[in-house]
Amino acid sequence: MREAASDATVSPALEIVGLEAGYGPTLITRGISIVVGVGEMVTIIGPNGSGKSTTIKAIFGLADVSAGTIRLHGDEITGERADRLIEMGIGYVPQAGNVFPTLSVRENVEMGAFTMRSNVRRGMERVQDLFPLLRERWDSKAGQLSGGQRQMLALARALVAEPSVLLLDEPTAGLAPQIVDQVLVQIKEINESRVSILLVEQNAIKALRHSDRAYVLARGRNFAEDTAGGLLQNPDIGRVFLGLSGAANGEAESEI
Amino acid sequence: MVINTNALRDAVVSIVGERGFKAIERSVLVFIFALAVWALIWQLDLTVNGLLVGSVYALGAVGLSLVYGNLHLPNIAHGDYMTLGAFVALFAFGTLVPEVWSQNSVGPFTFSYTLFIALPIGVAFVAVFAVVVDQLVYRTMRRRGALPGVMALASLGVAIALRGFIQYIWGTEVEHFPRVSKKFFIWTVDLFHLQNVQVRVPPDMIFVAAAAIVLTLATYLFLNMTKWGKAMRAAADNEDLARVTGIDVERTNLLTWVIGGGMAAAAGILFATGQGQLLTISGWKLLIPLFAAVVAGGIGNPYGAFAGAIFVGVVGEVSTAWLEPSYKPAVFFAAIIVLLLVRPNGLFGQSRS
Repeated sequence: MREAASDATVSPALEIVGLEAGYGPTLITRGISIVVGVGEMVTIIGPNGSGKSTTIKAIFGLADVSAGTIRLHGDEITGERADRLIEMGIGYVPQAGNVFPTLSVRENVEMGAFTMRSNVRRGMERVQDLFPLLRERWDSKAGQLSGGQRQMLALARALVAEPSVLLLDEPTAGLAPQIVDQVLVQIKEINESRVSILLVEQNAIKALRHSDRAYVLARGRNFAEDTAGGLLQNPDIGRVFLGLSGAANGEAESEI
Repeated sequence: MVINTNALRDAVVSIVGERGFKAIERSVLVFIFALAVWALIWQLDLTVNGLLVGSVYALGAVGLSLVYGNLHLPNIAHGDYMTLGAFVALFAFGTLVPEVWSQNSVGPFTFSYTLFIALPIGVAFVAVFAVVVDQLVYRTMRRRGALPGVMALASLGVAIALRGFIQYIWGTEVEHFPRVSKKFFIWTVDLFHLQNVQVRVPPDMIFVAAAAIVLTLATYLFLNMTKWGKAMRAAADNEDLARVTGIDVERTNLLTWVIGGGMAAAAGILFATGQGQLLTISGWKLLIPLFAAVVAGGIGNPYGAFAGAIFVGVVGEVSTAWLEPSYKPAVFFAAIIVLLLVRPNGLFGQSRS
């Protein structure tokens, strides 16, 4: 585990500055900057193609970075290899296909601990305590799990290495509405156990209710940033990005 | 001529009804199955030898299936990797091991303990060779996103070049490992007081079958019990996810080649031992039963490949009771077509979600 920052100024958990990234010759993000403070849960929202997923894919080398800097607790990690990133305390749950279907639940979690040299047993036990549902299906094949259980397993696999920062790419995509809340509550609980979280979400309103702050991206650039509550109350954001009419917006406010 | 099977089916259904048709369909399957069991018992000699031949196929097929499953490469050069292993062992016998050492054979077998020197040398050489070829050829192609069909053609190129190289070095004569002639094991079995059947088994084949079982079991244990084995399965499932999980996918690919190439060499050396001869086209000619075994067992499933190899071995041998041995490849594939009609994903195949 990483020690708490001992320098006088506390560095943010994750800092993305002027990120330009894309796939081959196609540039998707055109100078995005995002900061996740220690212990914060930050959500990125925005329309399709705005660069949400590309931003976090770029951190794990799944998109090509052409400019910009990424720092983890003040240390530059731009272009680091995945195994190094995990050792440094950053975890990533991709959107689709985020479990190994022919491996058992246990083996999936073990793969999350692949880079660890010690504390594997402790991590495995902690994950079982955090997800009792997975403990029940410990020796089943991951391919036999339901959509919600797969998301739990994907979170468990990322958590076993005890990251200080967790990147989640649309963890509620394709889930039934009740399950969406369940997964988001679980993510909030993880966040409350002192894991900083950067979340990309389509279910923007639901995600914002659990987040501290949020960024709105559009056309590969920062469009707006505010506290989650502030964004939910902003009528322009509500109309354009959250699909809220004036009345529904008021309703959303009252539920916060 | 085109037979319209639907029209045929409709005609039969109109006479005997839907239930009658199902009953006929079921009885045909039962009849085929009963016929197969009768053939296996009646041709006990061929059945036993088919089991042994199948276990040699299994050694080759397990490695082939592993490479296919993990790297999505139907490696057409696999048969020639087997040949290479056998010729490297031949080289070891000829140069590294004094000939006198090979004069006393082990137990009932034709080989002496020097096989246990030559075998690991051949296995190690081909394992390294497979890794080098991967680095030179397939890795570059993988990085550029080559399709499996293109990779297969590249492996055909590797196969032809490698065979040319072997023929250049060792010539095209029939070779054989140092061997001491031994008697076959012969058992006489009384079949239901109707007929005595003589089962003749070359002793070496018993050893080869045992080695095949041990090596397949070792592969199973490695893939399921060790960290790197599980990582290989994870990478086969989803390479991108494996990479962001921190698994060194380049290394799991190399491990796949080490095991696949090593198994190929072991298969080639043991096959040459069991056959008592060695040709530069030995491995190439095994490719058809090997691929048949991989398909029969469920593509990319190494243990399925073992079962598939036994199936192919038995079917091929038993067919020689009625058909010329040169028809074997046709028999393999006819049997596989019937098998795939009943089990579309092979013996142990599972559809991936």
